[in-house]
Amino acid sequence: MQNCTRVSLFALVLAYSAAAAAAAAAAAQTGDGVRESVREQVLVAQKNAQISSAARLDSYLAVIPVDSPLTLLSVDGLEQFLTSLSFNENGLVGYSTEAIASELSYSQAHRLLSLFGAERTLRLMPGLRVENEVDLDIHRSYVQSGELVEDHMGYRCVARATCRESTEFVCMSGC
Amino acid sequence: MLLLEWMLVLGAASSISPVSICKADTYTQLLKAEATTLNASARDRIEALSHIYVAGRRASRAVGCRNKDRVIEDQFKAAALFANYVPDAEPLRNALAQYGLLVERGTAGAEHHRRLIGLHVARGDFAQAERLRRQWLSNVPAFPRVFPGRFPPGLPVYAVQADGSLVRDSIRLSGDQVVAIVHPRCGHSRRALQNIVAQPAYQGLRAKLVLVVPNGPHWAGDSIAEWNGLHPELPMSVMYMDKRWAAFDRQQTPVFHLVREGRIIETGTGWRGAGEEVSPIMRALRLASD
Repeated sequence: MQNCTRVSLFALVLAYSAAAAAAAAAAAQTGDGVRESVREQVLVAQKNAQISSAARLDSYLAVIPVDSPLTLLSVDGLEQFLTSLSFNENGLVGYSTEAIASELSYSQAHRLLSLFGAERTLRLMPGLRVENEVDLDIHRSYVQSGELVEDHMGYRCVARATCRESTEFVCMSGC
Repeated sequence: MLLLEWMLVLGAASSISPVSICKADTYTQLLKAEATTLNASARDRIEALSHIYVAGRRASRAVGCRNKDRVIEDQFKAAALFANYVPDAEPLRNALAQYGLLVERGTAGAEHHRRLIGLHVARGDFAQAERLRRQWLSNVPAFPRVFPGRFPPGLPVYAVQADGSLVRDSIRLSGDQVVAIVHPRCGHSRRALQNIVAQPAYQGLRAKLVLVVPNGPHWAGDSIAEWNGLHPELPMSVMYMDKRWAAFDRQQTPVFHLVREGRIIETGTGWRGAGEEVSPIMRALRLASD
């Protein structure tokens, strides 16, 4: 009887372990699934942004609006930013944060990155200028949010399917 | 990097004549070199960056140049960038010295604080990074606490605890191990790991896999904690930048190194989707047929 109880207890422990492992695996799949759906949303935003390709950028620059957020950057900063942009079929997939980080406030950077559907990457730039309430709001909603996306700060997208270390660059989802 | 120290000494000795124009473009040159060496080997890339850094350092020491604001600014940014690539003490010392000058002159701003904090994070000095963060950038999330202790023998890493704090640990290299340099915010790394975790074909590989995140100026503690929470059987730890990691390519992710008795015998780089990058490693481990 004692043996029976031991065997039953052992079976129960085994069953519990298997159930716990299955639950952990399911949780992992759900977690990765959540990330995958966020990634899909991010790609939709990038693909459908006002500027989603080099050709669209050229068209935008040809008749640049007077209130364009690009004009918030200095001449050197703008040149540096524009020459750093990388596009593929998913829209903007990489850029240098250098000029944005050194010249813009949160609200200004938000306006600029929204042109590319890339405003979420503000969360990777925690030290931008805060000058007013809007900046504070944006800082709160982006920097302090734990959004699950594949934006890799300090790296650049490399064709051979790797992210390569590159100062002040961001390798974005869709790379 | 003894060569680097020697080049600096020689450079200082040969810079006795005044230079009429003080160049302050070392940082810009380093950024350009980063871009042009994107597909070069880790070693060639460091060599290219090293030449530029050393030449700029030499020029900055020329009479009449060393106290100019733009030279100090340039040297600070150049040293902070280069220090991310090599574990040597010199670029860190230089960055700290130039930062001291910027503070002394009242020209240090948020951007300088951010870079210095990033440098301390990259070097694994979270206590210094946190001290500076509290002083200058209190709106930035706090850095993790590191438990007191020393790194055990092996490849030094920080083990990330459930509450985000860090414990000094190491990877002990005996037998066969696959040390994967990955990053939770790198899409290629995540897709590689999702496949390796889910597919039965990689069961043998999983048993030998150790995941290491190369530390850099941008702390990714939340993403690492998220991965570790979802995959407790295959956690990521954080590389502590040290010469013991010199043989490993830490500049890109994902990179898979098969290490046998402490020596790298096979390396696979990237993840295009079908897993061909790890095939040679699987074969060497006799986990796949030829």
